[in-house]
Amino acid sequence: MPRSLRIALLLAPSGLLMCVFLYGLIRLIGSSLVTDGQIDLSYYEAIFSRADYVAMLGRTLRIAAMTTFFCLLLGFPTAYYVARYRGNRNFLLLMIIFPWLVSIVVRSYGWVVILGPRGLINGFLTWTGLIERPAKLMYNDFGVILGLVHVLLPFMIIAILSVLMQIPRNLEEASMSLGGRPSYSFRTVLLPLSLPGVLTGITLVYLMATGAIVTPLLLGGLGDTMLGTEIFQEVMHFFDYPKAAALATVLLITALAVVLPIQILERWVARRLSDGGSQ
Amino acid sequence: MPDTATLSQPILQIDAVTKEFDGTTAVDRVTLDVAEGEFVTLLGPSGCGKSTLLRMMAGFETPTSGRILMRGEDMSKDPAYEREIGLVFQNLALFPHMNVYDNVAFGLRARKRTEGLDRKVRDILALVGLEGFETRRTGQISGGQRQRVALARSLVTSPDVLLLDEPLSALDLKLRRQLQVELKRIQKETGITFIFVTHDQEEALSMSDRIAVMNAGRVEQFSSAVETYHHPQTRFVAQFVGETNLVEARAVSRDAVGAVLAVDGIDQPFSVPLVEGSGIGAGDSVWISIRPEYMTLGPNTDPAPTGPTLTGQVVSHSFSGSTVTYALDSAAGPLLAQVPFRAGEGHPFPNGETVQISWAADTTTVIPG
Repeated sequence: MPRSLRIALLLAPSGLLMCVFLYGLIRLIGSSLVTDGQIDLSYYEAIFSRADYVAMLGRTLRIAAMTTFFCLLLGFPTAYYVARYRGNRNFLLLMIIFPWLVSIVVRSYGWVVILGPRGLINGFLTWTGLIERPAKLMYNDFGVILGLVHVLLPFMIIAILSVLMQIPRNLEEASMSLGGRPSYSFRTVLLPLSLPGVLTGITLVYLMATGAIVTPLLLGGLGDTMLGTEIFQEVMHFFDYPKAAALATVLLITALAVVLPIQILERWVARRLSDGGSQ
Repeated sequence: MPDTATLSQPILQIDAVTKEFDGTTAVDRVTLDVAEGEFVTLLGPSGCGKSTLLRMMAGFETPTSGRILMRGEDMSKDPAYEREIGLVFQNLALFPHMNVYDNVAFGLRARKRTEGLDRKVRDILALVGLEGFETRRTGQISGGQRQRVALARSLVTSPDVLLLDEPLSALDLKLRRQLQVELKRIQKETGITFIFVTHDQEEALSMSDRIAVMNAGRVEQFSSAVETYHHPQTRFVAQFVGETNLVEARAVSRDAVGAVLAVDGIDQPFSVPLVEGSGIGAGDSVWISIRPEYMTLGPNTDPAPTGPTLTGQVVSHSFSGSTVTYALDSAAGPLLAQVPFRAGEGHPFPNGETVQISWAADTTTVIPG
């Protein structure tokens, strides 16, 4: 089989995927912009003229940012520990990936059992008499962020871990032998070298958090939903496709506004690292 | 031979250091004193514990027992970044995200010694011959240049001791020879104490003031390069450092300065000198080591020369210009002889020829059995 044919055959499935994806995306944006053959921005005007939608957009971005922040805070040390673990690293990896085998609905519902008014924590605290009425641990932003961090943390860990594994342990030792205290070594050696993984993790988690549906639906408050959930409801409950499309487009653009600069930064960092690191 | 370590206080003392990993002993009660400005080599096969010992000096491993003293102060528990000890890694461990200048400046910045930083960095780059390479990235320079960057990076802070963990092992032979000479020059110029780890005995002999030969976690011998080669104290040292002939012998008698030895295949017992304090007594079985270059060969018809003599057959020989190396089979076992090549009838001796093998008795080194 000629080489070009082989390549064409291999590319065919991805080409098909790209076409379907692009067609869907164009139709989506189109349906939010065009009514009866005319350009019509009324859906966007309607969204931005309603204070609750603007608040929802702000909340979505805020929750996504906080989720990303906490994922990074928990993910980096975990990834570092796994990367430097001298024992059976595969076992640790398995433990990290394990939650993926359970449906996101089940995992989010698990938090209801723990955080709910009659859940594990409230039940225990009322039983001991520390509090008189159940504390509000869910149906608010706290619950959503907690749930999202739980769901998305593995992505952050894996993204950072893949880069940390490439960094020779020796480099930290070299830094220490040159008088670099652990904090100095982290700042000047480990962090710059792991930046590509950190940025990948941030991108992944942030994107998935902005588009989250199930976790905010189960753990979020009724009055303060996130955009993803709202789009889901517009489509599934009200069948208002153009409005859902307009919301989705807004979400897409705001997400890109954050992710594209990160992507450019990541390219730049990766290029800087690669021409120094090739041995 | 003056023992420099005893003249002043040693800069670094390894005092009965042992390191165990999960029940296996990597380093076994090693004691070494290193004098200031000395070039000491830890020589041994891979797995002999030399790298572990080096890592303990650097502060990356803690001794299971024993102490490591710097200028008389115990630093066994100090973290690596508080020790004034440089380390050149086997894989160099240059920082890939920094250029040559920043790599070299790293130690000064980390220790917050930024006064005159630029001057110091440029001076040290000049010392290792890397002027003009400041802004190059570490991926854009050759292996030998990377080596120099690693050396400059560790030297710029003027450490009390510089440790080098087989830094030349990845280079080709020619570059290696060149850098050996240069390393020695830099050590002389800076006056910094070097502790060099290698498994290459030639490298050790050509560079070191003193060599610690290690085997199975222990130091078998710690002496000058010449002493190590000419007076190996154990069978391991004799075999590991240079080529040698090890022959089993028996001490017939013993006096103040030497012993008379009998060897199977040699008619006459011969007397050999012993080092002072040698514990060998009459009746002991011992090993003798004779370097191949001390062997003389002659036609079997010659009158017996003085010194131990036996006959053997040439098994094979290789000619290398000025010398010929013979593999011989004798009553005392297989022997190697490296003799000057003399042009003429019957030279080199053909394979299968019976020849007379002898050496001067005082070139024999006696090793306890």
